[in-house]
Amino acid sequence: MNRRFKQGACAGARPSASNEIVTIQSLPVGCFGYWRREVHSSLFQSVRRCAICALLVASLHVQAQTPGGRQILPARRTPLSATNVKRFGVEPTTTVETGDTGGTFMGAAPDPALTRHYYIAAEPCIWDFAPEGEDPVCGKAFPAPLVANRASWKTRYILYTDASFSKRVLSPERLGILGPVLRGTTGQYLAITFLNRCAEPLSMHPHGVKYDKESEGSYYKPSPGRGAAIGAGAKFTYVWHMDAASGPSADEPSSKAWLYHSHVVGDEEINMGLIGFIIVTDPSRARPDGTPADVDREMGALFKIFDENFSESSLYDEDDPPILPANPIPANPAAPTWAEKTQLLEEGQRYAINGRVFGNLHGFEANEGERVRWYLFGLGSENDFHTAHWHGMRIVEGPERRAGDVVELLPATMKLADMVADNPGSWLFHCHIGEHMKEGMFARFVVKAKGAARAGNPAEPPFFGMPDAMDTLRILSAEFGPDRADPTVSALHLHGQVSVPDPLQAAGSDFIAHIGARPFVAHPDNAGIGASDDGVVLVKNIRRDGTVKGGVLEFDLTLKGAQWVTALRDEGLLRGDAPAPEAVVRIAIEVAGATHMASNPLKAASREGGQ
Amino acid sequence: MRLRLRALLLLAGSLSGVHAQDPASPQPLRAVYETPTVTREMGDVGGKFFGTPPDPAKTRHFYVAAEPELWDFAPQGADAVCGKPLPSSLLLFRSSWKIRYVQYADAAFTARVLQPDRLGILGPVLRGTTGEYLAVTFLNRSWRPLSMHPHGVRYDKDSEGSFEKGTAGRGAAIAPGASFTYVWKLDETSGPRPGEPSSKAWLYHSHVEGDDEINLGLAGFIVVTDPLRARPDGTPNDVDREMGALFKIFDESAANGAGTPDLDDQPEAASMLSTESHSWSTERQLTEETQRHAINGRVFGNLTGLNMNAGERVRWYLFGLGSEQDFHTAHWHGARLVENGRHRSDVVELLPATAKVADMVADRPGTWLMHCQVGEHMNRGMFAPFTVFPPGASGTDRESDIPFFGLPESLATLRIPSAELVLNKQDMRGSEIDLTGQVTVPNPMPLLGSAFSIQIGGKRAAFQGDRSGVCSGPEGVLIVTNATSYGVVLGSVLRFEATLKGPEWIEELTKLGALKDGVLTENATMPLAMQVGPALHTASAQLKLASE
Repeated sequence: MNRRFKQGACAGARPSASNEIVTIQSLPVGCFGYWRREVHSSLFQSVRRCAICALLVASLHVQAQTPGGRQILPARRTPLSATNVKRFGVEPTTTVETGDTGGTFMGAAPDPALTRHYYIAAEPCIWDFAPEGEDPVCGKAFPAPLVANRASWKTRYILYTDASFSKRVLSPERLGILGPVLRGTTGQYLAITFLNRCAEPLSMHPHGVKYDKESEGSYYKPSPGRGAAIGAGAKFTYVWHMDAASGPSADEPSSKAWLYHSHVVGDEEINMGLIGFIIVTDPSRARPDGTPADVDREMGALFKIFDENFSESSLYDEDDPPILPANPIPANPAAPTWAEKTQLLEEGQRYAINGRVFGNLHGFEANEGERVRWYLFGLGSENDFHTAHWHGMRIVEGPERRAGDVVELLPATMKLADMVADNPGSWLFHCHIGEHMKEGMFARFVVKAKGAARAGNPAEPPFFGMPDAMDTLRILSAEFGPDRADPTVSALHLHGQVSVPDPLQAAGSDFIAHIGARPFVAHPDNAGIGASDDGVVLVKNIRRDGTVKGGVLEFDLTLKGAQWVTALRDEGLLRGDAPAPEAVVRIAIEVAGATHMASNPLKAASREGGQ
Repeated sequence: MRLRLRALLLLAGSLSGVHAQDPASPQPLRAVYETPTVTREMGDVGGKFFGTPPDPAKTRHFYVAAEPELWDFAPQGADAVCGKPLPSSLLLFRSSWKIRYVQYADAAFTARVLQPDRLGILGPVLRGTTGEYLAVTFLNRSWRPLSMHPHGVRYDKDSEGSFEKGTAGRGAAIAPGASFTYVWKLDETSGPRPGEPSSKAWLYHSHVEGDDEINLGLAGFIVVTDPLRARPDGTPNDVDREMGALFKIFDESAANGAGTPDLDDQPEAASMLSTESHSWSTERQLTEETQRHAINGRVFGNLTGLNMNAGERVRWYLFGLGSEQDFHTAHWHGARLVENGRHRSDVVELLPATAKVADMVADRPGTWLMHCQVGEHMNRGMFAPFTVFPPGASGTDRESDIPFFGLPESLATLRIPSAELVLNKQDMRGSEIDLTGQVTVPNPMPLLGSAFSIQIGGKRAAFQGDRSGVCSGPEGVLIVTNATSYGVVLGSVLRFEATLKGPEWIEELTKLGALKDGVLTENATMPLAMQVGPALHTASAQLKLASE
């Protein structure tokens, strides 16, 4: 076996160099790298099974994700019988039939006044470790295995606004693959209604909080709690108490963080992407909203190598053979050698911070002078020891408040580092271990100088998990003035993001916007352009196949003409021909069958045209 | 067989490295290197801290060059501590080309500073107290762009010393032959907090590409002392001696690489070293066989100079660096330590880029083992002896007994540990001065054709180098004691014994006041200057009467 083998596998798996790595029409592409290896070099059986299982997860996902059926792609394959799925012999402890049997803490419902309620679904998605397709920080060339296999099927914890599980909450970019941040102060309860939209049983197992057996979220003999393994399509409400031992002790910083993750079987669900964290603040050192009073901004970073070999898991029971793909895999003439297997394993590693590699994680931004708190985590396997290192600034760590610029992380380590962002500029943040650096375990951390515009992207809220950060629609800018295309007409320019199902067939679906009583209706085409007489919408992140992936639709919306001016005037937003001082435009956007509301200050159009 | 070939090829590669040392003829750049941010033509555009030069009264200036060097991981050729046989892959491949940070006495970059043995491959220690600035003039004498990136200190983007696309500062990648002055401030957060020990250490290393340059040998450390707990010279006042130890596995496989000078002009060698010709598992095997489990770049007890006196309070600055295998547990025999001023232990955990402080009282005389407690690491040579000398001990080779790193007085480039006067009162022509000493020289230094001179007072003796190591002149003889059989001095330190003959020397000593009426004065010292090539070295020696 020589080098040619490796190159062959990579070359075969990579159709083009563009962003279009994976399209919905070709669902198994996430596993193409492995398929090709199978075909060309006859590799192990489990890989094949997993390729198939990804298909099935996808098909089930398509079914589960269809609220109205209109926007979503038709299911291409028959899903598995949802309640029938067993995994390593694990019988779900909660199923669709049993209904949500959770919601209690040691047998009683927690005091609603002390409880923060979250709605979280586990959903499959195609996760791209490097969506930009290049390294924007160091300009390094990607290793061939990453180029060949940049995206793969993952399962993520997705936050919804309410029990209807119809509107996803926009997640801060800097969290990457991480699930929603759950937060509270010592003494409060967290209630999490968990909906499993995947085929296999999943759970939520928290660190650091107090729970009864039902809310442990971990499956083991002899008597797993009801929350141990939530079956496909089933719901369960976990209740976790943040007691005194959950919060920081007197000599610790004012808040601390704990991991949560799925724990039906073991580590593989973490590798699937089912991870997030909880922040507990000491109420005597908290603002009224529960954020730590001595901190201006929070960051979270998980250092974990994702293993994209699927080799560790066979997600489906042997007795329940899944549907074979259309393109059957030839029989395996020879078993792979140990070296071949090890080589493949190594090539499938993704050295990620929050699930992104080679500087593709964005949103680590702060303003000069801010007190920034970093919650730092490690997770994974033997190779997952990491040393997080910041350039440009130092941190203080631990109860002894030791100054440093390196924090050591092992799997399931949870640490906290405080920094004053006093050195404006763009700085490197990376793992200091040789191979990890080389394989892309770094991101950029930007400190905006005083006087510069507010920290870059207003979509990045300073604190995680706040009720006011539960947006499903964000208007990033709202400007009124001459139309950019036709200056003789006045127009309202809106730039924003709205959460949508993942994936969304955006081309041809409705995009409706309301200001006051006046609606704008358009149907974006495959280029994302939807025009009508009095406006145009551009879906900025539409893909060539007309889909939007990742659960967020970015749009530019221009509403122009006299009738919109009238509508704005009716709302009291204009004074003369200019926006009234402190005018706030309220907008509703309906897409994929859900209506989202947001408001934003209305500004006069900048000369350059803004965003 | 393959390894043997590789060893030979590396040796061949070494020859081009010799040339690379001359800044006037840098090797052609490989296309893979980053574009330099500072070139030779630009001159030194550094020296500023957020736009202004730092206050000279608060600035310590260091002169550091990056130079290729053939580094021997086990210069003794044996394991003198545990008596283990050296693994065959090490015997075959004991030395390889590294690039090191080398300290010079001044901006002329001619006289290298004698570095304490115990630092091994590490670069010079840079030090100061909180509130001071470090100005480091860096000269790249290697064949590839390099930098100095510090941990723990405050810098502007230009002095970050790290490459970043689009926004790189000027100090990010210094071209071969170019120089740049980094300015780093030891601000409040650089120094120890009140609860921490009185001084703390931070790593610095080259950071153009990533970890490669650390593996090349480009790493060192900075010591920052709390001025409230410092002596006037900036050393921590509750400590008598400092030690530094970097636990790092060096990867000497060509796959990792860049340890070899450019092989473009040796296509045959280049193709042999290219990873393309090996299978993945062969590559792995080679990589594994060429791991050097080193403390300060030395394996199997070959790190020397970890010497201390009984009763001394010894501070260890401990570091990890490297790759996934580089988790280490430093363990001392015969002593216990207090880690970070809080935790009593005799094991300190180290991961790559960790910097820790551990304090020891050297209360048990003897030679003790310090080692990494991780199984394979121990087996593969990650240990070194340290010696606690009982009070009054003598007769040891403690010639470079420098308790603290990085002080101006440790900037010596010439040391004369022994100067003996042989007086022949019957016939003054038979009198002589016998000197034993060390002086820094370029690395490597061929002796044939080299000129030396030694000057005492107004009297100067010149010697002409010889391949045998015996350099003779009309005024005496100078014997180089560490020349190889080819007449080359490796490792940048020339050790010599010199005999200066004739009555003129006695007259000079009388003029200098060391001799009075043919008798040595009390504490007689003599200033001495030595010229080696373009570099002038000065020292003063304590003069003694030769024993009969």
